[in-house]
Amino acid sequence: MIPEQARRDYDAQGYVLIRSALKAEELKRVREAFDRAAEKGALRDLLSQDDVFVDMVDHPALLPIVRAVVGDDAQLRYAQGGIIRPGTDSGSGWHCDLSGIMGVYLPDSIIMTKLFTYLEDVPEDGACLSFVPGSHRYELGHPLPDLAAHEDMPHHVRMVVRAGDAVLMNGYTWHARFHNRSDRPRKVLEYSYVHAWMKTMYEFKDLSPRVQELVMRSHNRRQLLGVPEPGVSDWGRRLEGCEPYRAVEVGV
Amino acid sequence: MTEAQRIEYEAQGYLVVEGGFAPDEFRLAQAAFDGAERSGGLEDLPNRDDLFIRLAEHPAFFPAVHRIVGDDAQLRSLRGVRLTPDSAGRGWRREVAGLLGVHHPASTLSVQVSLWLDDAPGEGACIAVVPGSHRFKPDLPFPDITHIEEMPHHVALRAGAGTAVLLNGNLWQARTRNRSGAPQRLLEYTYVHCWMRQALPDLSPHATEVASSSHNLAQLFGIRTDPMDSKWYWGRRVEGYPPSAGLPERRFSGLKVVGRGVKANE
Repeated sequence: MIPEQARRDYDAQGYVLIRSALKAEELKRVREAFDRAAEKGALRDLLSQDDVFVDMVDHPALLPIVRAVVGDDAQLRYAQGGIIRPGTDSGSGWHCDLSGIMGVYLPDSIIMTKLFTYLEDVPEDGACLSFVPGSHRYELGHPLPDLAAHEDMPHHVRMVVRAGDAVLMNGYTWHARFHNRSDRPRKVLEYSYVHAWMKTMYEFKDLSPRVQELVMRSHNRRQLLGVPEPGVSDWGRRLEGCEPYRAVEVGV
Repeated sequence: MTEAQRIEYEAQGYLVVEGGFAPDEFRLAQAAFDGAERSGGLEDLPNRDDLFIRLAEHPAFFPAVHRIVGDDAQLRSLRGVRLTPDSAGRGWRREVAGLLGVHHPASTLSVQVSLWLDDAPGEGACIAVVPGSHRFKPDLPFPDITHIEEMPHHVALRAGAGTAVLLNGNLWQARTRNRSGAPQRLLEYTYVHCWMRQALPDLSPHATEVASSSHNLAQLFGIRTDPMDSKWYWGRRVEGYPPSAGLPERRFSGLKVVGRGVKANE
């Protein structure tokens, strides 16, 4: 999927499904690293567990789409993994992540975007991530219908995906994760992207020496992981491939 | 913040607050400024005098800042500026123009407070604004002008000592040249939301202690209260003021999460 098409879909629906983002060999490598991290109980500390998880931060099939959606000032807020075991009532209710945030007119803004990369197939009854399409444009204060169960939400769509697919979601889109009624685990990477001028869930100095070394190798990784750039304000950071930001000032 | 001030700010994008300082208090601020300047510390004010830390929540202007930004207000930066005679102005700009992802005309990401420590002489520097421009479409270009004073429909905000000028970060703003023979001193406090990055100097242990002395100062200076909580900054709220979700007014849904229930297997 080309980034421009992804951006159009995302703007219209509040999410975009990216088929086959990971190729078979890559998927195998990520899945093996994921399983090792899960065994250690370290899915919340994903970046430190294997180089492959740092590689996913600026994955060549995914970062261009993240960038097209978030903008040239994109930054990673956190990276973590998650497993929903078969047959568990572990679903979250319908909500939007940014419902209480102050200062931002959310129906016309993109503050936070989550990227889910699936490591196993997710069938219809398998803890699907689900959306109300277009709900990222709802006016602030739009009422949530008072539902009893996930399935009662009108007009929702379920992300029935294959291993290697990815879903990018606007944090203001109404979404829910259904219970896992299937016989297989749902394994997913969750990378949250925000803007360089926003705080993240960890500081670069808190990352392991190995992760720091991998991050320092490129301009984009330094921005994505919040490494300060001398002489550049976080209000003007930009990824490679575009002109450095220069504030417009007219008149002397 | 009175209702009249709220309407004024919402309509024009700026607010001028006068007369909020006692004379003695104001003289202390001037003396602290001069002390900081002598030691080359105008970019390092929190570490130069406790007064600059406490000033961040001064009753002369902070209640208005809180009303505009909301309960999650936080300080982004603070610095001192001396405008020497004939020092250059700053051209027309929008402070938040580089912040991508936000529909700025309907949002409020930052409020700048300029606290003037000297009276502005007749030809002295002053802040200039285009009233109402904080609501302009974001892609509207600036007119092609040579001099700051050529901006159509601008207003020069000539402020006396002790006046605080509050600007919406999206407002078209400039600062004119100081054409007087006298220097002018001002303090610039910029407020944002607690989930935004800050641009403060590293605080010394003493400054950290002072900033931690109250709940609100700790929030304003971004002092981390729980090292183990990775989401520590999302839910911070100042205390002691009527609740505010910021301006413009927002309505939020009463229900946050619905549909958690489990459907019976059929």
